[in-house]
Amino acid sequence: MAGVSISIVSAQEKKISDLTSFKLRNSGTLMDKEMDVDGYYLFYEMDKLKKGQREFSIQMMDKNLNEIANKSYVDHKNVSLVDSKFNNQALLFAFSNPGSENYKAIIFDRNANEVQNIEIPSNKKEKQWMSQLMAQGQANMIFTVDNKGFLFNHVIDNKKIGYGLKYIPTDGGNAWEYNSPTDVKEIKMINPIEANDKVVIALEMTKKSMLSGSVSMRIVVLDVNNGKLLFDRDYSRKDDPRFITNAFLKDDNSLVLLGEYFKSGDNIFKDKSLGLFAETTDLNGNKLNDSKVSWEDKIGKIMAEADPKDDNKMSKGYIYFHDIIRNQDGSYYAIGERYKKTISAGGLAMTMLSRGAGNSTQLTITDAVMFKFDKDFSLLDAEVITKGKSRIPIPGAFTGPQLAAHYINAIGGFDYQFTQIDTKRDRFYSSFIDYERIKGDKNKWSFTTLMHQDGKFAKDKIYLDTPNKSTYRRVLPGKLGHVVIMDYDKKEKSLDIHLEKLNFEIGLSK
Amino acid sequence: MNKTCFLSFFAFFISFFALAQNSSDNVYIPENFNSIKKYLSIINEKQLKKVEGPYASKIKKIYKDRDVKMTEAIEDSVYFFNPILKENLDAILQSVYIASDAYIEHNDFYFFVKNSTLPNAGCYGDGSYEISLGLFNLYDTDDELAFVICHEIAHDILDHSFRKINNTVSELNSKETKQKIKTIERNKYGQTRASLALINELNTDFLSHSKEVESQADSLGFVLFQKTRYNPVKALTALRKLKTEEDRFFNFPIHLDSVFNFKTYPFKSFWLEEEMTIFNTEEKIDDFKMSSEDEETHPEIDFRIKQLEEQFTIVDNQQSENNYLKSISEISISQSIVSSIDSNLFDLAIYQLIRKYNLGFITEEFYVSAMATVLTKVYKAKKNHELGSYVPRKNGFSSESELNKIRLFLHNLELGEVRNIGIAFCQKYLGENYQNQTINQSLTFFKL
Repeated sequence: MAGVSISIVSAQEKKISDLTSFKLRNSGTLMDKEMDVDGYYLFYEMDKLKKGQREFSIQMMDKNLNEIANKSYVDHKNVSLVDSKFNNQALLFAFSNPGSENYKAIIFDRNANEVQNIEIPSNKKEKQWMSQLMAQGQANMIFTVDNKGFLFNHVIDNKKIGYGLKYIPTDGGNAWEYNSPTDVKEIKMINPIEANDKVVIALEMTKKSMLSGSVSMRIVVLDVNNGKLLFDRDYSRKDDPRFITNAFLKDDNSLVLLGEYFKSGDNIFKDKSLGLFAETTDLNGNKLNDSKVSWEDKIGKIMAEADPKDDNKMSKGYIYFHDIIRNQDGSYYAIGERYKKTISAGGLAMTMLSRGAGNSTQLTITDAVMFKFDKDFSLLDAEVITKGKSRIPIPGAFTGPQLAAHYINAIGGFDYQFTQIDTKRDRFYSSFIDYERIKGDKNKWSFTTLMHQDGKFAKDKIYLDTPNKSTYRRVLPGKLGHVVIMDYDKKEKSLDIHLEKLNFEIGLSK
Repeated sequence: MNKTCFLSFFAFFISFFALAQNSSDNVYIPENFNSIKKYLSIINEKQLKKVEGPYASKIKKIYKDRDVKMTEAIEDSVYFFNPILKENLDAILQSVYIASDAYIEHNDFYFFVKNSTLPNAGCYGDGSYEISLGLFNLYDTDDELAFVICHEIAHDILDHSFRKINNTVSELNSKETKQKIKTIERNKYGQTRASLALINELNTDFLSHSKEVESQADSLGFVLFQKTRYNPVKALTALRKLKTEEDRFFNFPIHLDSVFNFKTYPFKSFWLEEEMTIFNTEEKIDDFKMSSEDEETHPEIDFRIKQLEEQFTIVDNQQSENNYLKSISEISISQSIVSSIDSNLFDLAIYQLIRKYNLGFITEEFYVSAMATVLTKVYKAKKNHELGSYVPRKNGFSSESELNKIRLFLHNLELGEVRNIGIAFCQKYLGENYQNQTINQSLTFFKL
């Protein structure tokens, strides 16, 4: 019961306020391999210190957007926070200073105490390579081994370009490194794609040179406790070219690899695949099963049944697979988008006017497709989910539609955003940005999510256009089954951020 | 609670609630809004004329447009206007004014009732005051409320509000502070830390005066209170209740698993499932925290009680009155709930409904109507992806444990589960010995 306070603003307060204004350097989400958000971080520059140093603040929010920590960090003025992950035991932040010859990995325990500070050697060229790979979605810098440790992935400049995979334990285990051979004359990159308390599964990609368009894939399986190679399997262009998109470790520790398979000699980036595959191997490298589903025999027929208006459009277009989900009952869903290469009328005109300098071709992206497979990877069904057409111009260098699709995917041109897997409820959520052409109404952008549970699909939609014209809306990944909606009112200069659960009503009673 | 008295308000509650649903703006915008606007303008003008001294122009800027801001607050439904409540409140106010007529110039006084469940009262220093609905719900006697009124009037007599602003402006503009800012600006390094230290120092200074100020208002307030017919010992009761309320508020056990457990739709334990957090800490880790953030904005109640007991001989005359507060409380109990619903504060609304129903402060019919309305609104908010704008997420650092449970529950529910709960809830109470339009409407809504 006090005198009611009144807001006081004075010149002095403004001066103090200017002295305490902080610059936001980086921000990001702490996301695990199921695309579940564990939290968020904001990296601010706070104070200027001597010898080119700065005091920074790492502000952390939990998955419900509650502020949980604000940690001080001192480093060089040019440092940036590149990536961060949480493995249920500890939180790792990776820092990069362009002027230094290393990355720094700082690890906090669950009491927010700094417990490890590790330097990983990396020169300017190596860092540039790594940035490019991350920007294109080809590599994760940090991969979590839940409740055990972290894998730190970096590029090593040896005779060509190679990789280093550093394992940092958080459970008292042993650190180890697994690096590409130093004497090879090829470019090698690695990306961990799955791990449990026993093994790490990584995808190694090899090409002869920077300009080479031919890539071979190899699966590498390592013992997570010591980094020892348990086995590897080559998917060379010559013998068995395959484009691996997903890997799962089953309860019996057998490994399931999923993706697209090709004709021997084909280029996995340029040529059309023959279909989808699911290969099961034990941890000794013995192949237990290799199921294939071809476009010609199986998928085309199912697509025609699923979409009667299709009129055998399969022969006129392609499907770009973004993800393959494995359900608790062992069945699978492959999530893709239909696309085809078309001519852009506007682009063609520009090309003619500019004497060949414009882009006349484009990728037209249409419906989403969900293929259902049983646990033996036999194709059961396909669901076509209609959405609006998107058209993305393709640079002239990408002559083939498949290569163009990979390029479009790398720049985020597809409507597909991400898929989250809820293992507890045996659900998955796949999100797309859709441009809806609505009869009798203005066209609208929407953030559309498809949910699957118990064999059924449901859809939820959040329009990105708001009734208030001065409000700009973004929808970002949130924790499982949620999104973060950010509404910025340009007129009021206010920002409203709230976490919302996605809505699905498909008979969830009892 | 007297049954006859309660029944006499029964019809009022129902009609009030129905009215509130159809035109809830009526209770938030006073009928005499224009004259209130005029009043606010007049007292603001008077306040501005009183300002003088070396920082007069800066202080006038602060007071300028305060009447406009108050008007906007009224239009934003911050306050509650009810003629019966006002009549009863005025009766207590008159007792205070009459007893201390020589000391209080009350012609310009106006007490606004704030739509807040937190027990609080305040003095703006220009003749306008606020008392929250939560404060009316806290007390049992006219005496306790009268002491709070005397305390706030004491703030006015002692000119605390103006002095606080004056002191703050003076300190911010003092040579010393200006010099400190200049020194910081000249520093090449560590400007931010130095600025934060200065802010901390200023905050600590501002907050440390609060304790003295409250104690002064307690003392002068008690002097005014002693002149009334009310029981002096109730001054201490009023303060003690504030302390216990701080401890107990939002911590009344709610038992959602029985409230929302129905034969046709049993409660699911995963609706209260918590998630793992990144850090296992009891409070936010903040390497930049200022020590002034730990200072209380309300000085310790024990200190204030002790001060009063040392300064005065407080005798219990064994009497107390409840002529007017009872009527005020009955209105404020339901209005707290209604305003929470109107403001889409669903967590607060559910908490109050369950608590007040369990304690017998509201009838079953009111409880059922209001809860059906809340469930309908929760469904709509979820459908429109707006629930997060109205109901905060559970915060592990907050001591509002029961309120946090409700927040967790509301956010964990799927849309279809809200619908099923709505149907089960309405079906349970349909066919009771009262006609309830709201239940029927809600059931129809959920079944569509």
